[in-house]
Amino acid sequence: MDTTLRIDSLTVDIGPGRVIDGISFEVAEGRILGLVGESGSGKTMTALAVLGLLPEGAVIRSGQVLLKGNDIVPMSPEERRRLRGKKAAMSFQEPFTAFNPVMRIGEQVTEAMRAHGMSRAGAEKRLAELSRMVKLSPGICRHYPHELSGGERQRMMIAMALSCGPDLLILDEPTTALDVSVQKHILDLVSELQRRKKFSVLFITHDFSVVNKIADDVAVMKEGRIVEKGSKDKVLKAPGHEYTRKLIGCIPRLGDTRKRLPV
Amino acid sequence: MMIEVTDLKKYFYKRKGFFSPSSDPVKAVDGVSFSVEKGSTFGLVGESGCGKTTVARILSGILEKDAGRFSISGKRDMVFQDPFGSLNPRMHIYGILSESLKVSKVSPAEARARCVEALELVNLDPAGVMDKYPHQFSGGERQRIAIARALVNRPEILILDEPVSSLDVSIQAGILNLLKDLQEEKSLTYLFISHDLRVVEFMSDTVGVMKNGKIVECASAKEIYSSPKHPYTRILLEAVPSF
Repeated sequence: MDTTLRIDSLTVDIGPGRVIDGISFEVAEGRILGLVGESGSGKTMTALAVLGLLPEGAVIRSGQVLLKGNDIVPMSPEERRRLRGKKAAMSFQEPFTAFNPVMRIGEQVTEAMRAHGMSRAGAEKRLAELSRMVKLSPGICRHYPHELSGGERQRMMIAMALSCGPDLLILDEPTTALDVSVQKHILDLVSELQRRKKFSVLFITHDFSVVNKIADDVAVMKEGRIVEKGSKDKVLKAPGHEYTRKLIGCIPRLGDTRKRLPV
Repeated sequence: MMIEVTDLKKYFYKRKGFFSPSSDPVKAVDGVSFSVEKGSTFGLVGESGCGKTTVARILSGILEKDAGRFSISGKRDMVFQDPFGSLNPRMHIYGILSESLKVSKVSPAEARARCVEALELVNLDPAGVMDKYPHQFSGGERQRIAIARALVNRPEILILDEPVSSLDVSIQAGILNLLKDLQEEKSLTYLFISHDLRVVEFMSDTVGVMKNGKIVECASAKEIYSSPKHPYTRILLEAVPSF
Protein backbone atom coordinates (compact mmCIF):
# COMPACT_ATOMS: atom_id res chain seq x y z
CA MET A 1 0.00 0.00 0.00
CA ASP A 2 1.30 3.45 -0.90
CA THR A 3 1.59 6.10 1.72
CA THR A 4 0.28 9.62 1.21
CA LEU A 5 1.96 10.98 4.31
CA ARG A 6 4.88 9.52 6.19
CA ILE A 7 6.27 11.28 9.23
CA ASP A 8 9.58 9.93 10.40
CA SER A 9 11.13 10.78 13.82
CA LEU A 10 9.88 14.35 13.67
CA THR A 11 10.99 16.61 16.52
CA VAL A 12 9.84 20.22 16.87
CA ASP A 13 10.85 22.75 19.53
CA ILE A 14 9.27 26.05 20.40
CA GLY A 15 11.79 28.01 22.43
CA PRO A 16 13.01 25.73 25.20
CA GLY A 17 9.93 23.50 24.98
CA ARG A 18 9.69 20.31 22.92
CA VAL A 19 6.23 20.22 21.38
CA ILE A 20 6.73 17.21 19.11
CA ASP A 21 9.11 14.57 20.34
CA GLY A 22 10.30 12.15 17.68
CA ILE A 23 6.97 11.03 16.25
CA SER A 24 6.59 8.58 13.38
CA PHE A 25 3.41 7.50 11.67
CA GLU A 26 1.90 7.25 8.24
CA VAL A 27 -1.37 7.82 6.49
CA ALA A 28 -1.84 5.16 3.86
CA GLU A 29 -3.37 6.06 0.52
CA GLY A 30 -7.14 6.26 0.63
CA ARG A 31 -7.30 5.70 4.41
CA ILE A 32 -8.45 7.82 7.31
CA LEU A 33 -6.06 8.11 10.25
CA GLY A 34 -7.52 9.41 13.50
CA LEU A 35 -4.92 11.30 15.52
CA VAL A 36 -6.27 11.37 19.08
CA GLY A 37 -5.00 13.18 22.13
CA GLU A 38 -5.88 15.71 24.80
CA SER A 39 -5.26 19.42 24.57
CA GLY A 40 -1.61 20.32 24.43
CA SER A 41 -0.57 16.87 23.22
CA GLY A 42 0.80 18.23 19.94
CA LYS A 43 -1.91 17.14 17.48
CA THR A 44 -2.43 20.52 15.86
CA MET A 45 1.33 21.21 15.79
CA THR A 46 1.76 17.95 13.90
CA ALA A 47 -0.82 19.09 11.32
CA LEU A 48 0.85 22.47 10.97
CA ALA A 49 4.22 20.78 10.47
CA VAL A 50 2.77 18.74 7.60
CA LEU A 51 1.57 21.91 5.93
CA GLY A 52 4.77 23.82 6.62
CA LEU A 53 2.72 26.30 8.64
CA LEU A 54 4.41 26.00 12.04
CA PRO A 55 4.17 29.22 14.06
CA GLU A 56 7.08 31.61 14.25
CA GLY A 57 9.64 30.40 16.75
CA ALA A 58 8.97 26.73 16.06
CA VAL A 59 12.03 24.85 14.85
CA ILE A 60 12.11 21.41 13.26
CA ARG A 61 15.09 19.79 15.03
CA SER A 62 15.10 16.54 13.11
CA GLY A 63 13.03 14.13 11.12
CA GLN A 64 11.20 13.95 7.83
CA VAL A 65 7.73 14.83 6.64
CA LEU A 66 7.15 13.00 3.38
CA LEU A 67 4.16 14.00 1.29
CA LYS A 68 3.83 11.50 -1.53
CA GLY A 69 7.50 10.77 -1.06
CA ASN A 70 8.71 14.39 -1.06
CA ASP A 71 10.32 15.58 2.16
CA ILE A 72 8.97 19.05 2.95
CA VAL A 73 11.42 19.74 5.80
CA PRO A 74 14.32 21.00 3.65
CA MET A 75 12.00 22.91 1.29
CA SER A 76 11.84 26.69 1.00
CA PRO A 77 8.66 28.46 2.12
CA GLU A 78 7.84 29.09 -1.54
CA GLU A 79 8.13 25.40 -2.45
CA ARG A 80 5.95 24.46 0.49
CA ARG A 81 3.37 27.05 -0.50
CA ARG A 82 3.06 25.44 -3.91
CA LEU A 83 2.43 22.03 -2.33
CA ARG A 84 -0.31 23.31 -0.05
CA GLY A 85 -3.75 22.91 -1.56
CA LYS A 86 -2.68 20.31 -4.13
CA LYS A 87 -0.77 17.82 -1.98
CA ALA A 88 -2.26 18.64 1.42
CA ALA A 89 -4.98 20.97 2.64
CA MET A 90 -6.44 21.62 6.03
CA SER A 91 -9.79 22.49 7.50
CA PHE A 92 -9.28 24.38 10.73
CA GLN A 93 -10.94 23.79 14.05
CA GLU A 94 -12.97 26.95 14.45
CA PRO A 95 -14.57 27.84 11.15
CA PHE A 96 -15.87 31.08 12.60
CA THR A 97 -12.44 32.53 13.26
CA ALA A 98 -10.77 30.83 10.31
CA PHE A 99 -12.90 32.70 7.78
CA ASN A 100 -12.48 36.39 7.11
CA PRO A 101 -15.63 37.96 8.57
CA VAL A 102 -15.83 40.82 6.06
CA MET A 103 -15.52 38.74 2.91
CA ARG A 104 -18.26 36.70 1.31
CA ILE A 105 -17.75 32.94 1.75
CA GLY A 106 -17.59 32.31 -1.99
CA GLU A 107 -14.90 34.93 -2.56
CA GLN A 108 -12.73 33.32 0.09
CA VAL A 109 -12.96 29.93 -1.54
CA THR A 110 -12.29 31.27 -5.04
CA GLU A 111 -9.40 33.36 -3.73
CA ALA A 112 -7.66 30.13 -2.72
CA MET A 113 -8.21 28.61 -6.17
CA ARG A 114 -7.10 31.79 -7.96
CA ALA A 115 -3.90 31.77 -5.91
CA HIS A 116 -3.23 28.36 -7.40
CA GLY A 117 -3.51 29.78 -10.90
CA MET A 118 -7.13 29.03 -11.79
CA SER A 119 -9.00 31.49 -14.02
CA ARG A 120 -11.83 33.55 -12.52
CA ALA A 121 -14.46 31.77 -14.62
CA GLY A 122 -12.97 28.36 -13.79
CA ALA A 123 -12.93 29.17 -10.08
CA GLU A 124 -16.55 30.34 -10.14
CA LYS A 125 -17.61 27.14 -11.84
CA ARG A 126 -15.62 25.02 -9.42
CA LEU A 127 -17.14 26.95 -6.48
CA ALA A 128 -20.64 25.89 -7.50
CA GLU A 129 -19.45 22.29 -7.84
CA LEU A 130 -17.77 22.38 -4.45
CA SER A 131 -20.78 23.77 -2.62
CA ARG A 132 -22.99 21.07 -4.12
CA MET A 133 -20.36 18.51 -3.18
CA VAL A 134 -20.68 19.48 0.50
CA LYS A 135 -24.49 19.47 0.11
CA LEU A 136 -25.07 23.21 0.20
CA SER A 137 -26.87 25.33 -2.34
CA PRO A 138 -24.42 27.43 -4.40
CA GLY A 139 -26.44 30.49 -3.36
CA ILE A 140 -24.84 30.26 0.07
CA CYS A 141 -21.56 31.52 -1.39
CA ARG A 142 -22.95 35.05 -1.55
CA HIS A 143 -23.34 35.13 2.23
CA TYR A 144 -20.94 36.34 4.89
CA PRO A 145 -19.54 33.85 7.42
CA HIS A 146 -21.72 35.09 10.31
CA GLU A 147 -24.84 34.40 8.27
CA LEU A 148 -24.05 30.68 8.14
CA SER A 149 -24.71 28.13 10.87
CA GLY A 150 -21.79 26.31 12.49
CA GLY A 151 -22.41 23.22 10.38
CA GLU A 152 -22.61 25.23 7.15
CA ARG A 153 -19.36 27.03 7.95
CA GLN A 154 -17.64 23.71 8.60
CA ARG A 155 -18.96 22.38 5.26
CA MET A 156 -17.62 25.43 3.41
CA MET A 157 -14.31 25.02 5.22
CA ILE A 158 -14.12 21.45 3.92
CA ALA A 159 -15.14 22.65 0.45
CA MET A 160 -12.31 25.19 0.53
CA ALA A 161 -9.80 22.57 1.62
CA LEU A 162 -10.92 20.28 -1.22
CA SER A 163 -10.89 23.05 -3.85
CA CYS A 164 -7.53 22.08 -5.35
CA GLY A 165 -8.10 18.33 -5.11
CA PRO A 166 -5.57 17.50 -2.38
CA ASP A 167 -4.08 14.05 -1.88
CA LEU A 168 -4.28 14.55 1.87
CA LEU A 169 -7.09 16.31 3.71
CA ILE A 170 -6.30 17.36 7.27
CA LEU A 171 -9.33 17.95 9.48
CA ASP A 172 -8.58 19.55 12.84
CA GLU A 173 -11.43 18.87 15.29
CA PRO A 174 -14.05 19.52 12.59
CA THR A 175 -16.98 18.51 14.79
CA THR A 176 -15.93 19.67 18.24
CA ALA A 177 -17.90 22.90 18.26
CA LEU A 178 -21.02 21.33 16.74
CA ASP A 179 -24.20 19.79 18.11
CA VAL A 180 -24.41 15.99 17.89
CA SER A 181 -26.94 15.91 15.07
CA VAL A 182 -24.84 18.33 12.99
CA GLN A 183 -21.70 16.42 13.93
CA LYS A 184 -23.22 13.25 12.50
CA HIS A 185 -23.93 14.96 9.16
CA ILE A 186 -20.37 16.27 8.90
CA LEU A 187 -18.90 12.84 9.66
CA ASP A 188 -21.19 11.20 7.09
CA LEU A 189 -20.16 13.83 4.55
CA VAL A 190 -16.45 13.27 5.15
CA SER A 191 -16.83 9.47 4.81
CA GLU A 192 -18.83 9.81 1.64
CA LEU A 193 -16.45 12.31 -0.01
CA GLN A 194 -13.46 10.24 0.98
CA ARG A 195 -14.96 7.13 -0.59
CA ARG A 196 -15.81 9.00 -3.78
CA LYS A 197 -12.69 11.09 -4.24
CA LYS A 198 -10.25 8.58 -2.71
CA PHE A 199 -8.10 11.14 -0.90
CA SER A 200 -6.40 10.30 2.40
CA VAL A 201 -7.42 11.94 5.65
CA LEU A 202 -5.57 12.95 8.80
CA PHE A 203 -8.44 13.42 11.24
CA ILE A 204 -7.49 15.21 14.45
CA THR A 205 -9.80 14.85 17.42
CA HIS A 206 -9.93 14.35 21.17
CA ASP A 207 -13.04 12.18 20.88
CA PHE A 208 -12.69 8.41 20.62
CA SER A 209 -16.31 7.95 19.61
CA VAL A 210 -15.71 10.15 16.56
CA VAL A 211 -12.60 8.12 15.71
CA ASN A 212 -14.60 4.92 16.07
CA LYS A 213 -17.13 6.20 13.57
CA ILE A 214 -14.79 7.51 10.92
CA ALA A 215 -11.22 6.23 11.11
CA ASP A 216 -9.47 3.20 9.61
CA ASP A 217 -6.31 3.63 11.66
CA VAL A 218 -5.58 5.39 14.92
CA ALA A 219 -2.57 7.07 16.51
CA VAL A 220 -2.73 8.22 20.13
CA MET A 221 -0.66 11.22 21.09
CA LYS A 222 0.46 12.38 24.52
CA GLU A 223 2.89 15.12 25.43
CA GLY A 224 4.37 15.31 21.95
CA ARG A 225 4.80 11.55 21.53
CA ILE A 226 2.83 8.86 19.77
CA VAL A 227 2.14 6.33 22.52
CA GLU A 228 0.21 3.87 20.39
CA LYS A 229 -0.79 3.35 16.77
CA GLY A 230 -2.48 0.68 14.73
CA SER A 231 -5.71 -0.29 13.07
CA LYS A 232 -8.84 1.14 14.67
CA ASP A 233 -10.08 -2.26 15.77
CA LYS A 234 -6.86 -3.08 17.49
CA VAL A 235 -6.33 0.24 19.25
CA LEU A 236 -9.93 0.75 20.37
CA LYS A 237 -10.86 -2.83 21.21
CA ALA A 238 -7.55 -4.02 22.62
CA PRO A 239 -5.50 -0.96 23.51
CA GLY A 240 -1.92 -1.88 24.30
CA HIS A 241 -0.85 1.29 26.08
CA GLU A 242 -2.00 2.25 29.55
CA TYR A 243 -2.70 5.85 28.48
CA THR A 244 -5.03 4.70 25.68
CA ARG A 245 -6.88 2.44 28.12
CA LYS A 246 -7.21 5.32 30.56
CA LEU A 247 -8.52 7.73 27.94
CA ILE A 248 -11.06 5.23 26.65
CA GLY A 249 -12.12 4.22 30.15
CA CYS A 250 -12.84 7.69 31.47
CA ILE A 251 -15.50 8.52 28.87
CA PRO A 252 -19.09 7.92 29.98
CA ARG A 253 -20.96 5.81 27.43
CA LEU A 254 -24.61 5.44 26.66
CA GLY A 255 -26.00 2.82 29.00
CA ASP A 256 -23.02 3.15 31.33
CA THR A 257 -23.71 1.47 34.67
CA ARG A 258 -20.54 2.64 36.42
CA LYS A 259 -21.06 4.81 39.47
CA ARG A 260 -17.65 6.45 39.12
CA LEU A 261 -15.25 6.98 36.26
CA PRO A 262 -11.66 5.81 36.50
CA VAL A 263 -9.32 8.78 36.72
CA MET B 1 -39.32 19.36 46.06
CA MET B 2 -36.22 21.53 46.05
CA ILE B 3 -36.92 23.09 42.67
CA GLU B 4 -40.39 23.46 41.22
CA VAL B 5 -40.82 25.11 37.84
CA THR B 6 -44.26 25.65 36.28
CA ASP B 7 -44.93 26.92 32.78
CA LEU B 8 -41.85 29.14 32.74
CA LYS B 9 -41.57 31.54 29.81
CA LYS B 10 -38.93 33.92 28.54
CA TYR B 11 -39.20 35.67 25.18
CA PHE B 12 -36.52 37.85 23.67
CA TYR B 13 -37.53 40.65 21.34
CA LYS B 14 -35.21 41.65 18.57
CA ARG B 15 -35.72 45.28 17.72
CA LYS B 16 -35.32 46.00 14.03
CA GLY B 17 -34.97 49.77 14.30
CA PHE B 18 -35.96 52.67 16.50
CA PHE B 19 -39.36 53.30 14.94
CA SER B 20 -40.13 49.98 13.33
CA PRO B 21 -42.24 47.52 15.30
CA SER B 22 -40.38 44.71 16.99
CA SER B 23 -40.28 41.43 15.11
CA ASP B 24 -41.62 38.09 16.34
CA PRO B 25 -40.05 37.21 19.67
CA VAL B 26 -37.52 34.45 20.07
CA LYS B 27 -39.25 32.04 22.42
CA ALA B 28 -36.16 30.99 24.34
CA VAL B 29 -38.16 29.33 27.10
CA ASP B 30 -41.72 28.54 26.11
CA GLY B 31 -43.67 26.88 28.89
CA VAL B 32 -41.15 24.75 30.75
CA SER B 33 -42.23 22.73 33.80
CA PHE B 34 -40.25 20.29 35.92
CA SER B 35 -39.41 19.57 39.53
CA VAL B 36 -36.31 18.30 41.27
CA GLU B 37 -36.31 16.21 44.45
CA LYS B 38 -33.88 16.83 47.28
CA GLY B 39 -30.53 15.14 46.80
CA SER B 40 -31.22 14.19 43.19
CA THR B 41 -29.94 15.42 39.85
CA PHE B 42 -32.17 16.74 37.11
CA GLY B 43 -30.39 16.72 33.76
CA LEU B 44 -31.50 19.23 31.19
CA VAL B 45 -30.19 18.21 27.78
CA GLY B 46 -30.55 19.77 24.36
CA GLU B 47 -28.70 21.25 21.43
CA SER B 48 -27.39 24.79 21.25
CA GLY B 49 -30.13 27.40 21.20
CA CYS B 50 -32.75 25.15 22.78
CA GLY B 51 -33.10 27.40 25.83
CA LYS B 52 -31.41 25.31 28.52
CA THR B 53 -29.01 28.07 29.58
CA THR B 54 -31.88 30.57 29.71
CA VAL B 55 -33.65 28.27 32.18
CA ALA B 56 -30.46 28.16 34.27
CA ARG B 57 -30.10 31.93 34.18
CA ILE B 58 -33.69 32.50 35.29
CA LEU B 59 -33.40 30.01 38.15
CA SER B 60 -30.08 31.60 39.15
CA GLY B 61 -31.72 35.01 39.34
CA ILE B 62 -29.57 36.49 36.56
CA LEU B 63 -32.55 36.89 34.20
CA GLU B 64 -36.16 37.89 34.88
CA LYS B 65 -38.85 35.47 33.78
CA ASP B 66 -41.68 36.71 31.56
CA ALA B 67 -44.34 34.30 32.80
CA GLY B 68 -44.84 31.17 34.86
CA ARG B 69 -43.69 30.29 38.35
CA PHE B 70 -40.70 28.73 40.01
CA SER B 71 -39.81 28.08 43.60
CA ILE B 72 -36.46 27.15 44.98
CA SER B 73 -36.47 25.81 48.52
CA GLY B 74 -32.96 26.36 49.72
CA LYS B 75 -29.79 28.29 49.11
CA ARG B 76 -28.61 28.02 45.50
CA ASP B 77 -25.37 28.71 43.72
CA MET B 78 -24.05 28.37 40.19
CA VAL B 79 -21.13 26.88 38.28
CA PHE B 80 -20.65 28.01 34.69
CA GLN B 81 -19.15 26.44 31.61
CA ASP B 82 -16.07 28.50 31.06
CA PRO B 83 -13.62 28.37 33.95
CA PHE B 84 -11.50 30.95 32.13
CA GLY B 85 -14.18 33.58 31.76
CA SER B 86 -15.97 33.02 35.04
CA LEU B 87 -13.06 33.74 37.40
CA ASN B 88 -11.91 37.36 37.68
CA PRO B 89 -8.31 37.31 36.40
CA ARG B 90 -7.27 40.23 38.61
CA MET B 91 -8.33 38.68 41.90
CA HIS B 92 -6.46 36.02 43.82
CA ILE B 93 -8.36 32.86 44.61
CA TYR B 94 -9.10 33.86 48.20
CA GLY B 95 -10.61 37.11 46.92
CA ILE B 96 -12.72 35.23 44.37
CA LEU B 97 -13.99 32.73 46.92
CA SER B 98 -14.68 35.18 49.72
CA GLU B 99 -16.30 37.89 47.62
CA SER B 100 -19.83 36.57 48.02
CA LEU B 101 -19.30 36.10 51.78
CA LYS B 102 -18.74 39.83 52.17
CA VAL B 103 -22.30 40.41 51.08
CA SER B 104 -23.62 38.05 53.71
CA LYS B 105 -21.55 39.84 56.41
CA VAL B 106 -19.47 36.85 57.43
CA SER B 107 -16.52 37.75 59.71
CA PRO B 108 -13.04 37.59 58.11
CA ALA B 109 -12.01 34.64 60.27
CA GLU B 110 -15.16 32.74 59.38
CA ALA B 111 -14.72 33.63 55.70
CA ARG B 112 -11.22 32.20 55.70
CA ALA B 113 -12.41 29.02 57.38
CA ARG B 114 -15.21 28.64 54.84
CA CYS B 115 -12.79 29.09 51.92
CA VAL B 116 -10.44 26.47 53.36
CA GLU B 117 -13.36 24.10 53.81
CA ALA B 118 -14.60 24.67 50.26
CA LEU B 119 -11.17 24.14 48.69
CA GLU B 120 -10.68 20.94 50.68
CA LEU B 121 -14.04 19.70 49.43
CA VAL B 122 -12.86 20.05 45.82
CA ASN B 123 -9.56 18.34 46.65
CA LEU B 124 -7.33 21.37 46.30
CA ASP B 125 -4.68 22.28 48.88
CA PRO B 126 -5.91 25.59 50.39
CA ALA B 127 -2.43 26.80 51.41
CA GLY B 128 -1.07 26.32 47.91
CA VAL B 129 -4.06 27.90 46.16
CA MET B 130 -5.46 30.91 48.01
CA ASP B 131 -2.81 33.50 47.14
CA LYS B 132 -2.53 32.57 43.48
CA TYR B 133 -4.35 33.98 40.46
CA PRO B 134 -6.64 32.10 38.02
CA HIS B 135 -4.09 32.09 35.17
CA GLN B 136 -1.77 29.98 37.30
CA PHE B 137 -4.16 27.04 37.14
CA SER B 138 -5.12 24.47 34.51
CA GLY B 139 -8.66 24.25 33.15
CA GLY B 140 -9.58 21.40 35.50
CA GLU B 141 -8.20 23.21 38.55
CA ARG B 142 -10.09 26.35 37.59
CA GLN B 143 -13.32 24.40 37.37
CA ARG B 144 -12.62 23.00 40.85
CA ILE B 145 -12.10 26.57 42.04
CA ALA B 146 -15.38 27.60 40.40
CA ILE B 147 -17.11 24.76 42.26
CA ALA B 148 -15.41 25.78 45.52
CA ARG B 149 -16.66 29.32 44.99
CA ALA B 150 -20.19 27.97 44.74
CA LEU B 151 -19.68 25.87 47.88
CA VAL B 152 -18.49 28.67 50.23
CA ASN B 153 -22.09 29.76 50.69
CA ARG B 154 -22.99 26.22 51.78
CA PRO B 155 -25.73 25.91 49.16
CA GLU B 156 -28.27 23.11 49.06
CA ILE B 157 -28.81 23.45 45.33
CA LEU B 158 -26.21 23.78 42.59
CA ILE B 159 -27.10 24.95 39.09
CA LEU B 160 -24.40 23.53 36.85
CA ASP B 161 -24.38 24.92 33.31
CA GLU B 162 -22.15 22.79 31.06
CA PRO B 163 -19.60 22.41 33.87
CA VAL B 164 -17.38 19.96 31.97
CA SER B 165 -17.87 20.95 28.35
CA SER B 166 -14.59 22.78 27.92
CA LEU B 167 -12.47 20.13 29.64
CA ASP B 168 -10.44 17.21 28.36
CA VAL B 169 -12.07 13.82 28.94
CA SER B 170 -9.64 12.75 31.67
CA ILE B 171 -10.22 16.03 33.53
CA GLN B 172 -13.95 15.79 32.89
CA ALA B 173 -14.03 12.36 34.58
CA GLY B 174 -12.44 13.82 37.72
CA ILE B 175 -14.93 16.69 37.91
CA LEU B 176 -17.93 14.37 37.37
CA ASN B 177 -16.71 12.06 40.14
CA LEU B 178 -16.16 15.08 42.39
CA LEU B 179 -19.69 16.35 41.77
CA LYS B 180 -21.11 12.91 42.62
CA ASP B 181 -19.05 12.73 45.83
CA LEU B 182 -20.15 16.20 46.91
CA GLN B 183 -23.76 15.36 46.24
CA GLU B 184 -23.57 12.26 48.38
CA GLU B 185 -21.68 13.95 51.19
CA LYS B 186 -23.83 17.08 51.39
CA SER B 187 -27.05 15.72 49.87
CA LEU B 188 -26.95 18.49 47.31
CA THR B 189 -29.61 18.92 44.66
CA TYR B 190 -28.32 19.47 41.13
CA LEU B 191 -29.75 21.04 38.02
CA PHE B 192 -27.23 19.70 35.52
CA ILE B 193 -27.26 21.28 32.08
CA SER B 194 -25.34 19.81 29.18
CA HIS B 195 -25.47 19.10 25.48
CA ASP B 196 -23.65 15.80 26.02
CA LEU B 197 -26.13 12.95 26.32
CA ARG B 198 -23.57 10.56 27.74
CA VAL B 199 -22.54 12.91 30.51
CA VAL B 200 -26.19 13.68 31.33
CA GLU B 201 -27.03 9.98 31.58
CA PHE B 202 -24.04 9.40 33.85
CA MET B 203 -25.03 12.22 36.20
CA SER B 204 -28.82 12.36 36.26
CA ASP B 205 -31.72 10.68 38.04
CA THR B 206 -34.32 12.46 35.92
CA VAL B 207 -33.81 13.95 32.47
CA GLY B 208 -35.64 16.63 30.51
CA VAL B 209 -34.96 16.85 26.78
CA MET B 210 -35.32 20.39 25.53
CA LYS B 211 -35.99 21.66 22.03
CA ASN B 212 -37.05 25.12 20.83
CA GLY B 213 -37.80 26.35 24.34
CA LYS B 214 -39.91 23.36 25.35
CA ILE B 215 -39.25 20.15 27.24
CA VAL B 216 -40.31 17.54 24.71
CA GLU B 217 -39.79 14.56 26.98
CA CYS B 218 -39.20 14.24 30.69
CA ALA B 219 -38.71 10.97 32.54
CA SER B 220 -36.28 8.99 34.67
CA ALA B 221 -32.85 8.70 33.09
CA LYS B 222 -33.40 4.98 32.73
CA GLU B 223 -36.60 5.43 30.72
CA ILE B 224 -35.27 8.22 28.52
CA TYR B 225 -32.20 6.23 27.56
CA SER B 226 -33.69 2.75 27.30
CA SER B 227 -37.06 3.59 25.74
CA PRO B 228 -37.18 7.13 24.41
CA LYS B 229 -40.73 8.13 23.50
CA HIS B 230 -40.30 11.40 21.62
CA PRO B 231 -38.89 11.28 18.07
CA TYR B 232 -36.48 14.13 18.89
CA THR B 233 -35.01 12.19 21.83
CA ARG B 234 -34.50 9.25 19.49
CA ILE B 235 -32.80 11.45 16.89
CA LEU B 236 -30.44 12.82 19.54
CA LEU B 237 -29.59 9.39 20.89
CA GLU B 238 -28.99 7.96 17.43
CA ALA B 239 -26.66 10.84 16.59
CA VAL B 240 -24.30 9.96 19.46
CA PRO B 241 -21.47 8.00 17.83
CA SER B 242 -21.61 4.56 19.38
CA PHE B 243 -18.49 3.40 21.11
